[in-house]
Amino acid sequence: MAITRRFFLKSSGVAMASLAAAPSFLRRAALAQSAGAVSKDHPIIIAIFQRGAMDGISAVVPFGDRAYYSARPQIAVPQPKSGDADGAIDLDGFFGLHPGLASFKPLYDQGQLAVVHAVGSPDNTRSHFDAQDYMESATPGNKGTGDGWLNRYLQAKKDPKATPFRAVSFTSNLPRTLLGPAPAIAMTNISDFGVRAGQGNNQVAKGFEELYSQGMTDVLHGTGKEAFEAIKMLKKANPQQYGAGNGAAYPRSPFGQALLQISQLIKANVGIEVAFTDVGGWDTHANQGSSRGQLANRLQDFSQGITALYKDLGDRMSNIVILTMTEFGRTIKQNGSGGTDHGHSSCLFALGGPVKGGKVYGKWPGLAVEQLYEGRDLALTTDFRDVFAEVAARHLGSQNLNSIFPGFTPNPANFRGIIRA
Amino acid sequence: MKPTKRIKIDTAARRINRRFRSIITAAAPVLITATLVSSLLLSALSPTARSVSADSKSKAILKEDQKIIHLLNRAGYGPRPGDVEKVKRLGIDKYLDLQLHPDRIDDSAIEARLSGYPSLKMSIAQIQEQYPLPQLIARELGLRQPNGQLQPKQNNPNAQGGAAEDENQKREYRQQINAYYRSHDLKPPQFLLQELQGQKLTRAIYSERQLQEVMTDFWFNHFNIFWAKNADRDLTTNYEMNVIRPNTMGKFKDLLMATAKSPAMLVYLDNFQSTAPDAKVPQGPARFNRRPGAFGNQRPGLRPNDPGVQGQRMPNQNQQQAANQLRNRKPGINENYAREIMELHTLGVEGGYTQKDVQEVARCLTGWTLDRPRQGSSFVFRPWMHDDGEKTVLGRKIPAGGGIKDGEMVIDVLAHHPSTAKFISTKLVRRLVSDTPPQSLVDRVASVYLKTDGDIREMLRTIFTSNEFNSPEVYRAKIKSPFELAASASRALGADLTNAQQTSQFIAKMGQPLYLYQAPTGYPDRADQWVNTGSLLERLNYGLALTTNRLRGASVDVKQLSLGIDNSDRARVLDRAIALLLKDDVSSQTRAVLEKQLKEGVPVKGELGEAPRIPTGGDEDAMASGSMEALPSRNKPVGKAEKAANTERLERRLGIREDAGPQMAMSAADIEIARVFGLVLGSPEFQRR
Repeated sequence: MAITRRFFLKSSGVAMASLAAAPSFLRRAALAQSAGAVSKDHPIIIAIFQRGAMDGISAVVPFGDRAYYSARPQIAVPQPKSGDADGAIDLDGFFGLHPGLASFKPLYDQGQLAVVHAVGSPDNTRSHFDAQDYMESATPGNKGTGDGWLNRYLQAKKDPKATPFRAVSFTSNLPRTLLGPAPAIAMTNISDFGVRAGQGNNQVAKGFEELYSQGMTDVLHGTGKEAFEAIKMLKKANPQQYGAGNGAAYPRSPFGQALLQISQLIKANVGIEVAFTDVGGWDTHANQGSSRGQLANRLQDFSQGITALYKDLGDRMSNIVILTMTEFGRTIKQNGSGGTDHGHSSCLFALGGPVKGGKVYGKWPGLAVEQLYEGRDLALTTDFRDVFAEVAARHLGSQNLNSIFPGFTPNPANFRGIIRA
Repeated sequence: MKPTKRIKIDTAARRINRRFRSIITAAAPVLITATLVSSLLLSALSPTARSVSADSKSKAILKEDQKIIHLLNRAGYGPRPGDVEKVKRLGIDKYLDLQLHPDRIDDSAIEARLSGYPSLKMSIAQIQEQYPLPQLIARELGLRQPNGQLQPKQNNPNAQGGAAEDENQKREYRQQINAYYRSHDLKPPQFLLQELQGQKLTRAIYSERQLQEVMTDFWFNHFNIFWAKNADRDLTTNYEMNVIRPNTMGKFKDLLMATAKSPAMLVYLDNFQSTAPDAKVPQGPARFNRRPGAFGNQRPGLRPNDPGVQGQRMPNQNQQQAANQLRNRKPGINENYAREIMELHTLGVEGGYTQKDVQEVARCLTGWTLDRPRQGSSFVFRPWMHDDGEKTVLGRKIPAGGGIKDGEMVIDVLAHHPSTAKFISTKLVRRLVSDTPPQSLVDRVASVYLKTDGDIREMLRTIFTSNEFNSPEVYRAKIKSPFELAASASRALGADLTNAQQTSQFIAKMGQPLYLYQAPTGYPDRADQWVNTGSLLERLNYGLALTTNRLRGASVDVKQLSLGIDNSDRARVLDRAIALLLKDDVSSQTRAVLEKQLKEGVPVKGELGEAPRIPTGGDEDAMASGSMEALPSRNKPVGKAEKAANTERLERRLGIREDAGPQMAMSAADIEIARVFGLVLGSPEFQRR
């Protein structure tokens, strides 16, 4: 494919201008001028990618499966025991949360947090790079897919009132999930998002804006246009006036700060529909620890960040789903370095008002050697696309699942039922 | 199929035409209406959509000057003033030949600029001694790390950090540690990162061995490691200086072997811990100098397993636990390196290996580990850790009892595999030619690889002398990485870089934190990695900060650049900027916008605009906490105090002062000129190479 669809559609905007029709980015910009009063009612998804492959059976511990303890003599999380802060936190008599995820427990109890276990990609790759690529494009086994699944969701659900902030990623580069023809913004810090030229700034900014608004049709110009629309809107909405509310305490980590800023943009009503961020450090080949240690610290930052976001957004969570994902799980047996190697299935979390929480979803495949995938990894019982598709259909209201998940026919019969009807 | 973001207008029209036809003939469901397609065609073919430079591109080969500029952009970090003329005098072939033999180029002038980076010439042992972690000093002083955010609160996740008292404790802790660093003439490990970043930028800007710098960047990224992973803080300097740099243009196999045996890679991809499952740990003192060192690069409790950039620490009790685990640990295989050496370093993910091959390669490489990890750290093969059974790798039997030869044989097999030839060639062509590597060229380079036993120099020569390389299709077709942008801007402006810290921070904000890409893939070498709204804005801001001298440690003399042109003669200033930065090759649209800006003025008087700021943090905090957000600067500009104060006042009045002052006073008129240059640096044309 010599021309990406992003290029193609972007060009079409310019082409239409030459035929005297208003190009979409100009319409968006015009709308942005009158922004500040974007509807609060549309559903929002906040997607969080745990890069590096989270060890699912450490995060949500199958303490009822004896094979778990024999496979991991040093790194297993102990069974729940009252008064033992190092034990798993019992969810349903079989599964328990890692102690590092303690802040998730109240949300689970309130029915706001669901776990899907033994979930992942049917592809057998154990390459981080490929597996992330497959999960973000939602086309396991096919590397030729040019765009990400969330971008296809945006493409499929046309929104004439979309603002430049319809899709925002708090990462320094746009993630694969959001690559594609539908515009999306990547930023790391709201306060740095703009031209900083000092006195006479507006004039200089205008110069840059014009440099990028010429009749050229390439990625640089398209991106430049998006950037200047977004700056104007941000200035008007001033998201940084919103501090963390409801006693929410975000971790000081980059992850915590990304979530805080997502909350600020949501509160400022700049038109966010898709928010994304990622968090690394899950590739625990060595010394991962059990109840405490390296993985415990990661889990704690992860859950405290999400819990803070949840609290902070308060009533807004009634129409928001936070969905976590990781490219694969890890080996059932611990390796020679007190860690785990690349495996197959893992688990994910879904939180929010629309989520039918308080339950660990999915069929448990078991950890006995004969039950393992390729004799070593947690087998797959839920295709991640069935979870993504359920969220897209039942939460985001997408009618075009086939275009979002090419080569896959999402079947509502396979949905796990994590979203309230 | 790789997405390409950059389409030159004339070729785009042809491609669109092709696509248009295929849409019609296929009569398949299409994404867009026929109206859009035809209007796109109209627009792409209409004269208004053509750039000026498209005229020159429509000819089959590049003009002589363009050829030189192209080579300077791809085999280096872009032309400095006068470079094109120099190459012309020397002859382009001679220039290329010299660049392919960097040791024949006198580069002594760079030494003075590198003198501020003492760690570059230190051994690993010296580095470990001179750049200790704050935690080590705390232990030496008998200090306990104060409680606070850094400690996990397993039992009470909602507990708030204990406010003021906590803050006081932390400050005191930091002060004591910093005092120790100063009094013992030591530095915290972040300085190692700063020195690495500084030397990389300095060399890219000032070294005459430009291709050597490009290839160092390329191979480091190909064999990527993450500076902040555990002991790699101490080891990355050695990795670049002694593993990558000497092998950039030799035989690929030598480079592969050097990385395989490098302490930094052994740590980064965990192979130093990989042990035959039935290995018997030998008894007695002869084994190692330190007990847990058998499996660990670190003395647990001394060197926390701390990713640093993520701001987490391993608390004391966890360290204790980790130590216990090390002692109780059952030995076993770690597959990490075995997988990546095939997927990322040699064959490529589609190179034809299986999970079984990964396991077999991992067995071959057991026992490739580190000797004296805390006292110099060097490669050693430990027979007792090695799996000495028979193995089969990619269909080849590796007989039992081979010892270290098993791993060496694996490397030999991988280095001579046709998939490796293809994979390495594709990556080289993508980096040096185009995001969509022409297959014809990839095939030729791969055959050179196989014929010359993986001679990198010959592969490079094939690329740079190919028609595909010198084709107008690929001229300015690559989007510069943030590092390339900063280096090329500094070169084009003749900037004087005395401290690279703030420039490095800007490069990170543009999307490329140097030595800090966590994944073993390295940065993807494609436009879509670099172009997005946030990073594009930072590119614009970088250009402005550089030309208006608001980047600490980098100074540009716009007055000298504009050759004393009176700033009232704005048109000539603009001409000069376009000549210097864009080599007169500019779209009519860009020129028109710049001229309009000039006419309307780039005012420096009048009401204050938004105050600009480059965030920097407190040095004290950064030193003691190991934070990488704010690193202390050693080379604060030493100007005459009075002049500096005047400058500062002027900047504050003009509202252009960043946290640090410029190297020289700028008059309001100079700032106007500087902004013109800043705008040109921010133009779409300058983002390309």
